[in-house]
This record gives sequence, structure tokens and C-alpha cells, in this order.
Amino acid sequence: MTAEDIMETDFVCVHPGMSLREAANLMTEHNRLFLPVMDEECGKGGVLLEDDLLRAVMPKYLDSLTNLNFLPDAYELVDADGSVEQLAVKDIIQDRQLYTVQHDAGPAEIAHVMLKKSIAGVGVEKDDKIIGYVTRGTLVRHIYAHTLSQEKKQQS
Amino acid sequence: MNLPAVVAIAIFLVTYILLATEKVHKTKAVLAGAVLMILLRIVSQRTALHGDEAAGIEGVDWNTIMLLIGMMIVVNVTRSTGGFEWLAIKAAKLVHGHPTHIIILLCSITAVLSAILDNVTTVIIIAPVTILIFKRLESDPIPCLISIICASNIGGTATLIGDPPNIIIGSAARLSFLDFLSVDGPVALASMIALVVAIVLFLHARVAVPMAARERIMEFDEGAAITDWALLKRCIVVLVIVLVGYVAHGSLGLEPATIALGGAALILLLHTEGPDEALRHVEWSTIFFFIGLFIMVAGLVKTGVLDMMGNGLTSLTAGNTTAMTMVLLWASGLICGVINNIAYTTMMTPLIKSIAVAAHPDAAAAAWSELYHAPDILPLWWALSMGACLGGNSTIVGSAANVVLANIAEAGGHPITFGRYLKYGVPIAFVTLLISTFWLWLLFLR
Repeated sequence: MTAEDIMETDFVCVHPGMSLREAANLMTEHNRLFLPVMDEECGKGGVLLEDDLLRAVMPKYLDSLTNLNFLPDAYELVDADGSVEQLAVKDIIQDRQLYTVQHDAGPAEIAHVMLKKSIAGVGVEKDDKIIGYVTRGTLVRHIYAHTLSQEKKQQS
Repeated sequence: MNLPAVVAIAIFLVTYILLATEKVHKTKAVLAGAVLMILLRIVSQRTALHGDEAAGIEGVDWNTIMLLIGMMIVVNVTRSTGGFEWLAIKAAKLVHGHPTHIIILLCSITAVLSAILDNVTTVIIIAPVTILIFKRLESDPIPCLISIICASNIGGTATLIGDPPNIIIGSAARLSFLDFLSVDGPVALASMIALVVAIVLFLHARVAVPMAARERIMEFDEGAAITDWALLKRCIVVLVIVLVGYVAHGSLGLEPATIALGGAALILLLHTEGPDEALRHVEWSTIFFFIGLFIMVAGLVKTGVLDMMGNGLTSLTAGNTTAMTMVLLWASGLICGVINNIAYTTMMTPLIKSIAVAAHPDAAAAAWSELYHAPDILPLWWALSMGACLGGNSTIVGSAANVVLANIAEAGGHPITFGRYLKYGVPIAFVTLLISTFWLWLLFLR
């Protein structure tokens, strides 16, 4: 089993110019915690996290406070300056690289990258192009399904 | 001048230019400079890291480093309880949202916290709460934010642990917490009084708000700011023990770093969480900045550059203590408005040691440390301390706390421009340095 066997090829991704609202819709629609950011040619890209979308609506000057429970109207702070509608993915994307594995990488190699980098998915690379995407969920499903079926075979 | 001295000066100048222009992160620049000093055999690694007492080279001042790390741990755990937010909101409610009184109280809290903790942590908490308070008052927070910067630098001047220059000076000159409190303390107190007078005279009319806005401040729930009451109580106990330790360290014969590390150990023991989180928040970048600077300065001392400068300064002022003290105070004040006061103080402490040795050529090397408290040398340490700490008030880049607060203000939609700050900062720096001049004269130079 290699990355190419288990990867999703019609995976959801966002483009740098996409508005934050569109990105947030995609994320919730597909129930994802993150989305890969890729340019039109599917070259190497970045990652947009739910954290980034939340950070974009929260005032930065409050970062150092322990909590905001003492505020009677903390809800007013969400997008207080009304700038979110004008923002695109490229405006808020952190300098976070999209980690990739080669198309022939095995499950152990993919799991190692995910655990080492604390990431929820990796791009699958072939000839310098991203050809697919493996999420943690997909990997867990495949590893366990594979391991379990092996065990069953052995039992029978 | 020999070749190693020329190379040492070249490394030093290039690094300081990088620091001033911020082309490279300050820690990267200084570490590279430090390693170059060792690689080019200007100073050996042993001397750089451990000093060479016989040659009068301090090397890395581990007392300063451990004091900083210890206090950072204590402050980080305390900060996580929400206690500082509680204090700031409680103050605003105590004066029923009266803006001038809020400014005065927040400045006083900032000054006290800066004196016993550190300036940057203090403004990191007080500044966002200030913006929230003034947003609710529908008033401009900038006058209050600028006053808070000044209060943090003034408060930091008061104690050995208040501001990094004082930690470096205290360690180098063997001056105790009580020494600082009795010499720098009154200057800080008088400067705070001057600041309060300036706030009442110049800001009172500008920040006036209607009664209805003031009422809105009372809706804050300061109790909800506390995330962990049990831990906060333990932190307060540890802080009190640490403060008593600092007051007594001189008479107990303990180094200040021992007190700080003791406080850190105690607070970690009393904390239910493991040490990793508290240690992760130690500003390692700042710690390595200090280590790099100490190594670079060891290179300058080793090659005799600082001795040459010390001799030059002594002959320039003809050994006149009053002249030297005043030059040091005002020059430090001026320079620290522009360059990093930690980098400046690290270089100046061995320079004062060189001056001490040059002024007392007959003293044996073993008795050098006694020279640092000689009547003609002692005022120089205090002039350096006051100049380096209070000079930081003059510009928005004068100290780390200023820069941090300016960034918070900008993120909050209230940018403090260089020019706008200058109008407040320069007069405050000038008046506080005048107070220092008078106090130094009264204590040492009459």
C-alpha cells in the first residue's frame, strides 16, 4: 500500500485569492479542520487552518490576555473592524508549508511525517506536482482496515 | 593597537550596526558576533563562558542569566492566573471609570509591577486592558498608553530586578536590592510624582468623558478574569517570599539569582502542571541575546579595548568624578533612547571597572572589587543605571517595553507614531534625568 493507493485525488483545496467566507464555507461543508492551499498549477502550496480563520476575526491586541471572561460584550469583538469580508486566503495564510510525501511512500512514512509535524494531512507528490492528498482519517482507516484484514486472514 | 583589538572592535561595530538597523534579529546577530570572537581566538571559550578573575574578565554573567530565567518562570506562572487583568480592571472600577484617575492608577500599578516583575510582561497585560477600558469609555487610549510606557520604565528603574540594565549593573558592581531601592528608588518615586503631575496638568481635559460612558466601566466583571484562584494565591505567597528574599539577600550573603531560582523552584513545586509549559515560555531568545553580548564584551575586555576607552575617559574628564558622573548620566540617557539599553549596559559595566582600575593604579588586583564601591566610582554605577533605564523613555524604540506596547497599540487600531511619542517621551526623559542629576549630586557629589 503506497500513498498513491490511498490518496484522495478530488480533494478539496482553496486558492490564495479565495475569500475567507468561501474558504470557511468549504471547510464546514466538508467537515475539515484544515484545507490545503494550492495555486492553479497544483504546485507546492500552504495550509489554511480553522485557527487562521478564527484568528482573522479576533483583534490581535488581545492575544496576550489570559481570558476575556471579564468583558460584558466580548461578542462585539468578533470582526470588530468589519474587515473580514475584504480579506482573502492569501492575506491571512501563515508561513506554513504544505508537507508532502512521495507518491510511493508507505503508510509508516506518512504516519511519521504527520506525527512528527503535528499535521492532519499531507500532499502526495509526483514529478514536482501535487497529485493527491492523504488525511489522517484516510490513513487511520487504511492502516486499521489493512491490519485487521491481515489478522482475519491469519485467523482463518 | 594590536590586531586582535582591531578585529574585536570590527566585530563589535558590525554587530551593533546590525542591532541598530534591525537587518538581522538581534539574537542572531549577537550570537554570530560572539562565536566569531571565539573562533578568531580573540577570547578563549573558557574565558568567554567562565571568565578569568585574574585578568578581570567577567565572561558570561551567569548571575544575570539565572536571575532572568528564574524571574521569567515566576512571572509566567503568575501571569497565567489572570491576576494582572483582575488588578487593572479592579483599578478602573475603583475610580468609577474616571479617565484621569484610571490613567494615574494604571500607571501606578504598571510602575509597581515593573519594579518587582519585568516591564515587558507588565505592559503586555496592562496595555490591552487599557485599550478595552478606553474603547468602552469611547475615549482615545493613546495618552494613557504613552503614560504607561513612561511608568514602566520609571518603575523598572527603582529596583535591582526592575530593568535588565539594573540586573547587569547590580551583578557587576555587587550592589544589592536594598542599594538600588535606596538610591534609584527615590528617583523613581520622584519621577512618578512628576509623571502624575504631568498627567493631571496636560491630559485631564483631553480624556474627559460623559458620566454614562463611565458607568459602562462598572459592567466589567474582574472576578471572571481569574482562571485559577488557588494557583493565584500560591503565586502571591511565592512573590512575597521572593521579595523578602531580595530585601534580605545582601545580609544573607546570597546572590540575587539564588532568590530568583528559589522562587522559580517553589512556584513549579506548587503548580500542579509539569514544568514544560512554564519553561517553554521563558524568553530564550532574550537569554541568548544576553549570553552573546557577554561573550562579545569579554572579547573587548581581553584585547584591552575597554581599558583604553576607560583611560581615555579618565584623562578626558581629568578624573573629575562630578564631570564623569554627569557625562555618563546624560550620555547614557541620550544613547539609550536610540540603541538597546541592554547592549549598552553590558559594554559600559566593564568600562566603569576599567575606569576604577585606572583611577586607582596602586590597588592590587585582588582588591579590585572593593574599588567598585570607592567614593569616586560608586556614583558612576548609579549614573549608568538611571541614564540607561530612564533614557529609554525618550523614544518609542527606547526599550523593549516601548516597542511591545507600540505593537499592541497598533494592533488595537491606535498606532503610536514616532513623532507623537517623542512629544511626550522627550520631556519626561528630560525631567526624570534632571531629577537624577539632582539626586546624584545630593547623595555623592556635594
